[in-house]
This record gives sequence, C-alpha cells and structure tokens, in this order.
Amino acid sequence: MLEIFKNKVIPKLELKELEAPNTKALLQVLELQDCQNTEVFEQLKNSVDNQNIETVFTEDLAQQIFYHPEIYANEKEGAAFAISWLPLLENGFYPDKKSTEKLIAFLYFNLGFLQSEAISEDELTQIFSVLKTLVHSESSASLPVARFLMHRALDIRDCVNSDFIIQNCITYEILTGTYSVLNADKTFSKYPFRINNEFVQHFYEGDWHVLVNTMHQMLPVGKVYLPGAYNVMQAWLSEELAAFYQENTELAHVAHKALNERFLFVEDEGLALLNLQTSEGIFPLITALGSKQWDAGDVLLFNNRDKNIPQEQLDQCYQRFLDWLKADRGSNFYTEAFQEFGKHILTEENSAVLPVDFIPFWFEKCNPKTGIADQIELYNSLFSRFLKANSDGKLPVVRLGNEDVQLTGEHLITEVFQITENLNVWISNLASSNISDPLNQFLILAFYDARETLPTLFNSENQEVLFGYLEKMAYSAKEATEEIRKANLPLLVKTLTALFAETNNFTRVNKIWALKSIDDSVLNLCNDYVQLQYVNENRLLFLGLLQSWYNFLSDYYYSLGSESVWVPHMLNTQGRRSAAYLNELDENVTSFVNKALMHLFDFHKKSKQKAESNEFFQSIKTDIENYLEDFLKELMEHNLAKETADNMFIYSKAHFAHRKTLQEAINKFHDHHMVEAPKSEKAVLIEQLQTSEIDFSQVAFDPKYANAVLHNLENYKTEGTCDSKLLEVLDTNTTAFNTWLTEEPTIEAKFIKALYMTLLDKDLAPETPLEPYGNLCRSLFVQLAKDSKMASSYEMGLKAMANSGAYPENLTTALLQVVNDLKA
Amino acid sequence: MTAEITSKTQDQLNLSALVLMNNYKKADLNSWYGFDIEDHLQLKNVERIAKLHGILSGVHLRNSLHRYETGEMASNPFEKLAMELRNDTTNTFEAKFNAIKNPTSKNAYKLVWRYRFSLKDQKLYGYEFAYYIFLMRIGGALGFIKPEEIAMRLEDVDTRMKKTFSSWGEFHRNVCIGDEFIRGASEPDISKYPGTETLWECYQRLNIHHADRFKEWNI
Repeated sequence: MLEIFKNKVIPKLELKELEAPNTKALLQVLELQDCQNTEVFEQLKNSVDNQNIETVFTEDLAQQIFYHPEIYANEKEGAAFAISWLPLLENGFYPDKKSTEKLIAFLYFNLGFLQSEAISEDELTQIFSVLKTLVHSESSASLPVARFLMHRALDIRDCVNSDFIIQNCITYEILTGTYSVLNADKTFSKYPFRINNEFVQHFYEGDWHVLVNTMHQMLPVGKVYLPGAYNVMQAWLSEELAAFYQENTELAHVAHKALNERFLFVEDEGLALLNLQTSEGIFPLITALGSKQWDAGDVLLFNNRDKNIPQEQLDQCYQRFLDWLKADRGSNFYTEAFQEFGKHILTEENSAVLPVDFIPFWFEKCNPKTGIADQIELYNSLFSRFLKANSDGKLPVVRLGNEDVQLTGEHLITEVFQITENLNVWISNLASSNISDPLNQFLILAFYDARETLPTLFNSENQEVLFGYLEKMAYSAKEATEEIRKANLPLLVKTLTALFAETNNFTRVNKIWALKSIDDSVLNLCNDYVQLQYVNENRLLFLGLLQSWYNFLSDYYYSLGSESVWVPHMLNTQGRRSAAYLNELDENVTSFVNKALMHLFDFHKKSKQKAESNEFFQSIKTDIENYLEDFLKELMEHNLAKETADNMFIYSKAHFAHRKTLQEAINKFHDHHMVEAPKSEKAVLIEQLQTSEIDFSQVAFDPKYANAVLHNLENYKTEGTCDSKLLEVLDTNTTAFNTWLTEEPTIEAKFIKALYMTLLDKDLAPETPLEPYGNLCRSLFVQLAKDSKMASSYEMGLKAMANSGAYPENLTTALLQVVNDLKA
Repeated sequence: MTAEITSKTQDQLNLSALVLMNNYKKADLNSWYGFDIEDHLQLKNVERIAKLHGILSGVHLRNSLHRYETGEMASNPFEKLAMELRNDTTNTFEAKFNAIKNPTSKNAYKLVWRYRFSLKDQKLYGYEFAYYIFLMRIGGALGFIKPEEIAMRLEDVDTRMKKTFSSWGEFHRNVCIGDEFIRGASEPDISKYPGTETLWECYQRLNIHHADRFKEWNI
C-alpha cells in the first residue's frame, strides 16, 4: 500500500457523480493501490455490489487519480506519487493528457533532484519503469512522454541531464519499440521508433532539418566507453533517413564532420549511421564522400565503409582519396590518417577496385630519380599488387569510369603515360633503376601486353629507345632474384621478339639473341627468334646473310653445338635456296662462292678428322655435306671459278666417296671447266712459247711477248710459273721494248708496278731457287724506271723498304743494289 | 677452371700475351684467362674490359671473334688503304697526307704507307688474332665460353698464325703495328693516364721478363 495515494489522493476523491461503470473502475484502482481497508472502498463496493457491469475509466476519473499538482510541490512526494502510478499503469489505467503534462513538467524541473542522493536506485528504477510503461502504452500519455524524453536526451545545451536521460533510456529500453498516438476517432495507432515522416511529424513538427541537425550535434557528445546519444538514435536509423541524406548532400557532409568528431572525442565509431542504406541500396553518406574535397577525417570514414557497398558507389571516393594523396605535394603521406587508414584502404581490397589513375600516381611517386626514398618503398609495396595478377602475363583489372576494365598495354602507353612521342625523356629515369623495381616490372608487363602493336605505336627512333631500355632491364636481371628473373625475362624477350619480328638490323637481332645467356627461361625463346631471323624463307636473301650463316657455322662447330643452334637447320634446308639466290644475282659471285666453299670445306675437313671421337662432329660433317649437295646441285656452273672447281674436285675424290650425288654435282663443275674454259690468247701464247724450241736470243721484240710477260709478272705467284725465258726476250730487246712502251703509257705503268712488287718478294731474293727470275725483274725494273720522272720516288721508297728491317738480309742487299743502279 | 694447360696450349695462349699484359699488367700468363676469377676486384676488371669491347654475352663475344677473324677490325681497312697507296708516288702521297687534318687519319696514312708492301700478305692478322685470343680469355673468365671451345679455337688460330708468320718477333711486330694502326701514335704521351704504356713499351718489358716464352716458333 502506498501511503501517498492513501493520504493525498483518496481524501480528494469526488464520488457523488460517479456512474456505476466508473465506480467499478475506481474500485479496481483502489484494489490495486491496496486500499481495500479504507472507508471509501467499502462505500463504493456496496454501491455497485453484484452489479454485472463493464468498468469504464473516464478522463474525469483519471484526473481525479492522476492530476494532483499540489503533490508535486514537494519533490520527494512528487516522486513518490509518480512511483505510485506503477500498479495502475500495469493494469491499463493511464493518466490523461493534462495529468501527463503535469508529470512531465514536474520531471523537467526536478531532473537534478532525480539524480541526487535523495532518490534511491530502487525509486529511480520505478520512476523509469513508469515512464517506460507510459511511452509504450496505448494512451494519450505515450507521445508526450516520449517526446519529453527524446528532447531532453538530445538537448546539447544540458549535457548533464541529457546524459542522465540517455543512460536510463538505454538501461530501460525506453526509446525503442513503439509509441502510440491518439487518432481523431479516439483510437490509438502504434508507431515504431524509426525515423520517417510520421516520426518527424510527431517529434519535430515535421522539420527534418531540426532532427538531423540535432542528431549531428549529439554525435560527438558522450563519455568515452559509455553509450551515448548515438546508441539511442541508432535504433531509429532508417532507409527514409538515408533517402533524406541522399537528397541533401550538404547535410551528409555535415554528418561526416559530426562522425569524425565523434571518433575523435568519443573514440567510437558510428558505423550504422555512416553505412546507412536507402531502400534502393544506396549508401548516401559514403557516396557523399565522393563529392567533396577530402581531409584526414574523410580518409578515416572511408576506411570504415561497409564491405558490401557496390563498387560504382565507391569509384568517386577512390578518386577523392587519390586527390587527397596528391594534395600539398603529397605531404599527406606523412599524416597519421594515411599511415593508419590510408594504407589500409589501399591494401584491404584487391587492386581491381582502384581507378586507373592510381597507376600514373604510382609511377610519379616511385620514380627512382625524382621520388622520395621512404615514399618509394611504401608505395611500391602497396601498388605492387597491380603486378600480383600477372602470373599469366596479364595487366591488372582496374576501374575506368564506373566500370571494371582489363588494362591493356596500348591504353597505358597512349592514354595513361602518353609516351608515344617522348619516350626517351620519360623512360630514362626508370632506366636508372633495375628490373627489381616494381615499376619496371609493370612497364615490362605493359610493353609485353602491347607487343603486337608496339611497331605502330613507336617510330623507329623510339623503338630504339625502347630496345635500349628493355635490354638494360634484361641485363639487370642477372642481379635480381630468381623469381623476378623467371617471371619477367620471358615477357621481356617476347616483347622484343614481337617488336623486332620484321627487322633487318642484324646487330639488333644479335643483341636480342644474346639475352639467352642471362637465364635458361629465355634460351629457347631467343634461339627460336634468331633462327627465324636468320633462316626465314619469307624474306629476301642477301650476301651478308649468307656470309653470317657460314660464320655462325664456326660458332656452332667450336662450341660443340651449344651456340648458334639453328645452324644445322640452316645447313639442311637452305642449300638450294642460297644457290638459287646466287644464280639470280647480276654480279660476279665467283670470289664469294670460292671463299664460302673453302670455309665449308675447312670445317668439313676438321669435323671429319674428329668425327670418330665425337658424334657431334659426325653430325656436323653430314650437315655440311647435305648443304653442299643441295647447294652445288642448284648452283649454275658459271658461278664457280675453275680454280674452285678443281680444288673441289680433288677434295671430293678424297672425302665424298660415300656421297654419290654430291660427287656428281662437283664433277659437273669440273667437267664444265674442262670443256668450256676457253684458253685466253695469252695462255695460248705462253703455251706455244714454252713448248716451242725457239732460240730466244734470236727473237726480236714483239708486243705480244710484252703482254705475255706482263701477265706472268702479275700472276706468277698464283700460277706458280716463273717464265725467265720470256723476260729475257724483253731484257735483250730493251730498246725496242722501250720505244713500244712510250706509246703505251698504261702498260708501262702496269709493268713498273708489277716489277716493283717482284722486287719486294722474298721468294725472288738472291740465294733462292727463283733468283734468276728475280734478277731479270730487278734488271728490267732498273731499265724501265731509270731516267723516268718517278725514278727518285722509287729510289727513296726502295731505300726506306730496305732500311725498314722487315726483309731478310739478302733481299735488303738486292734492294739497295737496285737503288744504286737507279742512281747510276 | 680446372682443365690443365698443356705446354702446347700455353704456347698458343702466349699469342695473346702481349695484348693481355697491355690490358692488365699483373696478368698471369700461365693461366687460362690471365685473371684470377676468384678475386672480386680482378673479375670487376675483366667485366670492365669486356664492356669496353662491347661484350655482354656469349653471342657478343663470338660476334667480336668473327670481326677479328675476318679482318674486319684492322686488316680490311689496312688493306683498302694500302692498295690505294701502292699506286702513289712519294709526292702524290705527301699531297694526300698534307691534305688530311685529322691526326688519327694522318697516323694511319703514315703507317700504311710505311708497310703498304711489306704487309701485303700478312696484313694485320697477327694483331687481330692476338686480340681474338685475348677476348676468348676475357670471355672465358666471365663464363661466356667454355675451355673446350677455347682450346679448339686456339688450335686453329695457332695453325693459321704459324703459317702466316715465321717468328715470334715477326708476329709481335705485327701485333704492335696493328695496335698502332688502330689506336694511333705510339710515342710516349705525357697526357696519358699514368701507368699506361704503349704496346711497344709493353713488348719490350714482356721480352725482358718472359724472354723464354718467345724463343721458339713451334710450327
């Protein structure tokens, strides 16, 4: 039994005008208040006894019970009075509007008292139980009490009382669930505590801005580690609120600020509000981040975004984040916001969420020449993720506009880096680093991706630059880890082989080929490439190429087949083709063919000598024979000099017995020269002269001798015949010869030149078998040169020769003798 | 490098002794490479020399060898000029010589004029093959070429040199002339980096310190 009710309320009851149903209600009230022993109870009980009627609790009766303003004069009694309502409320007897307002007024002015020691825990509990029951009741008390609590809780000006209300509302779960509002037809409607138009209508007179601003004000307020206004409001968050933010971006920006402050002051997050979602799945507070210039706080907020937000709502945010990273010359790198949250933003998702613009940013920040060391290190570690997707040699997927885009090398080159024109300047900085630098790896990937179009993207000058860069990177791989080497070198080589698939620059081809020795992973790539370059039937042949084939044969031979591995392929397939090419040429190729064949025979011979000791030499021997067979079958006879044909014939007899076809081909040439070789006039003459028994001392000078002698002088070395008899003819007929020569100045010059050469020939020196021939030459030279314009020059020249020390003593003496004879 | 150097191989390697000593004074003539590849500093030096000759790999090395082998490095240009000068008289030569401004070309003209007849056959092969062997040793030190290959090539080069020249003196003179033709005047030049010497000077030193090696021209 509650004294306050008995003492203060019962005496004041007006019973006379009570109708029976009211009386019945009052009886129940009294019962609930444990007042069965009072006079009033007896009296009333008798008046309605046994009447089977409804109980009706009217507004008047309610006022009689609940409306006692005078009790509130004493705060202690006021509180006790309010507590005394509890049993009634629990049984559906609610105060009317007037009584409620009085109670609210009492509470409003006595919030301080309620927090004082005058009120026990127990009493406080009961008071808030009363309030809770009222709020959740279907009565006209519900809305006013709820509104009172809400306004007090969210009153930024009175933080002590605000906190008091908040803590208790949370403890007793008052401002959650539903509240009731009286309709015009006296019925009640229940509404949830969720922010929507009705809610705003009920509590904030329909003004969304007031509510939202109030919320923003309250967000940063509260005690660390204790729940605050946010925890109360959290339950009210709704899609409608989200929609409101979506329409009012500027308020979303204000909310950002409030949330930030909340984090700073309360050290607590506001994730539910931050990640508020509309019914269409829009996250207005996150998308609003995309429409403003960021500060450190926004980095923090973005870092706390929900993980399920659709990417297209985030794209703008990543852009703003990038702007923030770039701002103030990148000094935000050093902020706590970046170190704590920014890094996390860049690492938590895979690189596919980042806009393509992060790539040029990366290249700018980590540039080995212009970047700052500690930034380079960190950014490289962050952005190396762009490379992670590269196991299959693909560039990463990034965001471009609002779409996932598979990056292409071409796009990077033309749009992102824009380096088709000024590659040299751009790349020189990167070239100063090595292949271990993630930027260079990324670039290699980009060039690899664009390898097919590189020849059109870059002009030849820039291709040169690109080659220099890639070659440098390739060699730097020697110092890199095996992982980097194995991952990047093949891409790099494939890029080069695609870029220079059609080159005619064999220096370049060789340089690419040379990369094979850096790592085994590119050995076959390089070898395949170079084979295609050197042996490609789709391209025209040229003499230099044939020359290289033969040169590389020696590499193949000496390296026991580990170098120039394409040589056997060449030998086995290119014989006919090279001969056909030579047949077509206009120029005289006999000398070239002679040299080439001598080279091939040389290696054939060497291989044959070693064939027994090593299978390899056997195979190289066979390969050369195959080539020769094809080549000689195809080659037209006139392309082979007689001398070559003869040499070959001799060699063939000794070494090609097992290759009938090859021998036949060689015989063909030999026969051709045997039959065809028309003997020159000179040769015929010389033959006649040599065979006929002429007394040369009797022979008079004849110009035909002169030609024969000149031929002999010029060719005695190679022909091996020193025809002293002919020379003697001239020597004995000096006068006639000289006369004839004055009319033939060109022949004279030729004679003197040929004779001059004989002077210097060691084989013709005194005390050698050919001395007579040499003596005749010396004598004839003196006769012809003496008294000529050139005599003094020859004199000096020969003297210098003699004194150079380059000649054996006997020849030196002979030379000095010639000099003396010239002077005489 | 484990393969033993036979006295024959040593004799063949000696064809490059002069060039090797000229490039590295402390070279060990009795080793395959002339350099101690275990010694980090020496290896750096080898790398430097290789780079100087544009040798970055086995392919580069062998292409270089081709150029020396075919006379492209010295003999062909020498022969081209010699052929022209053989038709000149002292006077016409002097006119040509005086018209040249570039001291390097002047040097080349002077040298070719002097040897235009005497080196008609040998050309500058001695010089070229000395370098050929030297580069093989460099390449070997860097792992671009295996000893077996060096040995095989040496064999053939040796045969060719022994046919072309008749004595160590003649061969070495050719090396020095070639060097002078390629690198220019051999007069002592005080503006040079201290410690460097001309090939002629090196030749003299080599003959003082290692005279025994170069007595017999073993055919």
